[in-house]
Amino acid sequence: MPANILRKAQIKMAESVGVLFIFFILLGFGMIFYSNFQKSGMAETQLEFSEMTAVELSQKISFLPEIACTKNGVVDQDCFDIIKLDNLTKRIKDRHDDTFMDYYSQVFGNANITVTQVYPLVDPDEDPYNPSTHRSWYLYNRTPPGQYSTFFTQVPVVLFNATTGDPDERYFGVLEVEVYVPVVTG
Amino acid sequence: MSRASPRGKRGIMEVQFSWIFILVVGGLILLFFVAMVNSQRDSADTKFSATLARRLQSIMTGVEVSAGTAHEIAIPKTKILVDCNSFSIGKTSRVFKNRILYSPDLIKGRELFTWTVRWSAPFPVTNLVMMTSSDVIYVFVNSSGLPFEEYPQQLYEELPDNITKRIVSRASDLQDIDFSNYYKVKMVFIDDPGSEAAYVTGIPEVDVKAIKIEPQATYGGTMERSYGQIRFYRKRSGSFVLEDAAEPSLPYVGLAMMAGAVFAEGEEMYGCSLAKASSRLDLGILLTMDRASGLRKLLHFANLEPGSPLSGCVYYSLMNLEIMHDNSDLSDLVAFGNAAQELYRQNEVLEEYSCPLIY
Repeated sequence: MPANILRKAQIKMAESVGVLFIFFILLGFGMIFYSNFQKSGMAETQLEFSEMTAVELSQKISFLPEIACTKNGVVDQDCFDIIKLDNLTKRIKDRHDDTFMDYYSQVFGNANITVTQVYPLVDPDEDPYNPSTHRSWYLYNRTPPGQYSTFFTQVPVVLFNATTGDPDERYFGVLEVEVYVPVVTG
Repeated sequence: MSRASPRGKRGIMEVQFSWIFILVVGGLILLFFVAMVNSQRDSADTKFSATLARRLQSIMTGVEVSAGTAHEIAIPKTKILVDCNSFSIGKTSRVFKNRILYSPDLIKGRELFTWTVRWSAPFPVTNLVMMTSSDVIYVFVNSSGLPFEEYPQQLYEELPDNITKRIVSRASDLQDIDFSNYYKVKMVFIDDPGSEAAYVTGIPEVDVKAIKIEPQATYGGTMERSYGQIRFYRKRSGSFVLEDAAEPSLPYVGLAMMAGAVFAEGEEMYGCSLAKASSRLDLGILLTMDRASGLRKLLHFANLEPGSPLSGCVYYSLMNLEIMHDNSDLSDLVAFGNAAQELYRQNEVLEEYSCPLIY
């Protein structure tokens, strides 16, 4: 075969391979761009769902019958009974009995839940060991291992003290829910 | 015979090679795009089912906290498989954790209905969620001359109006219902089921289920506070037979659990939810015990003046709560029911005297 014809065919072949090479490079760029776009979309969705989880959790707590104010079985919404808050906090923190912690860790997951009485302020004379004049119930706390992001929500609530003898005596409080979401790397 | 010149032969070979090259590379490119389309379709399906499952879970949370409400939710044309602990859409599954849900094992159709009922025993324990489809029909069968004969009618009226439901007095009335429009049928009896199953036609036997409510007693005189047993049936060879002859009935306490039995796929789902409900009930009893004993101690040591409104408040229900705690699995329903009745009475007395209530 004459050398010039062979060279001509080789050039043609190289040309075709070159076109294909550039085609696949452009395709690769396209795919990288698309996957990055998808990833950022997924991260946004993840963030949205995490925020939703925090709101859902505060919603769940606001309606928990075990701490809600009740009158003969009828639940008073967005109202927490102080005696019930005391009891549930003690039960969850009980180191000798994991029953409550096991159950509520499935309900609340990784979160920190606190209820604070903001008005009226507690008289420091009544509680000399507590420098804070805001009474708080540290209901539940569980943090995940490793790195995590937090999502915080606050919900105003009414607190009711059944032992005052006045069924209409109510205090103002705030329910603070901090949800921990493990950071997924890689 | 003509012979191609060497130059012509090279030309033919070059053309053939070009075609082979186009075919191979073209085939590869085509394969690449087909694979990409397939993977995109799979990922879109997964994304769709994951998003739908996540949204549904959020809806369920909202639904769960609002007792006494019914919701109608438009769903895309998809199948939702439900069991006592989870639900799945396509390849995505979501676990319910402690949520107590009663539902057919398959939800399909255009609309999903939910109904949330507060479960009290007699203090509020938790909210039970009923879930069903617009294409599932619930048929209540009235019977006369029996104690609690009004229960099917009352239960029928308690069910939200958007749920597909009918009430009949005679088996022959079932002929008027076109069952082929539905993919599942659930019948509710107060008496033993008879020939009714034979009237349910145009639907596979496996999708025809029934329950018989056997109330034993009620405290406070209402169906809402009744307790008793539920028997579960399925259609076989044209008549209703017990789902599990070894364990023919399971207990219920209150309207919420009775409704749960209506919406549950069968005995297995109801039994699984019952186990979850009874462990939840036990926690509720312990917290109520804490409250009752706390109030008793607090008022005892408060040195109340004789004229104080709280001086007459007496908390004697701890023993009843102990009995309820010992029977929170509802195995001894009579003991549980009597103790619950006493607790209910004492709370009413406390309310009468404007005392801090136990619940």
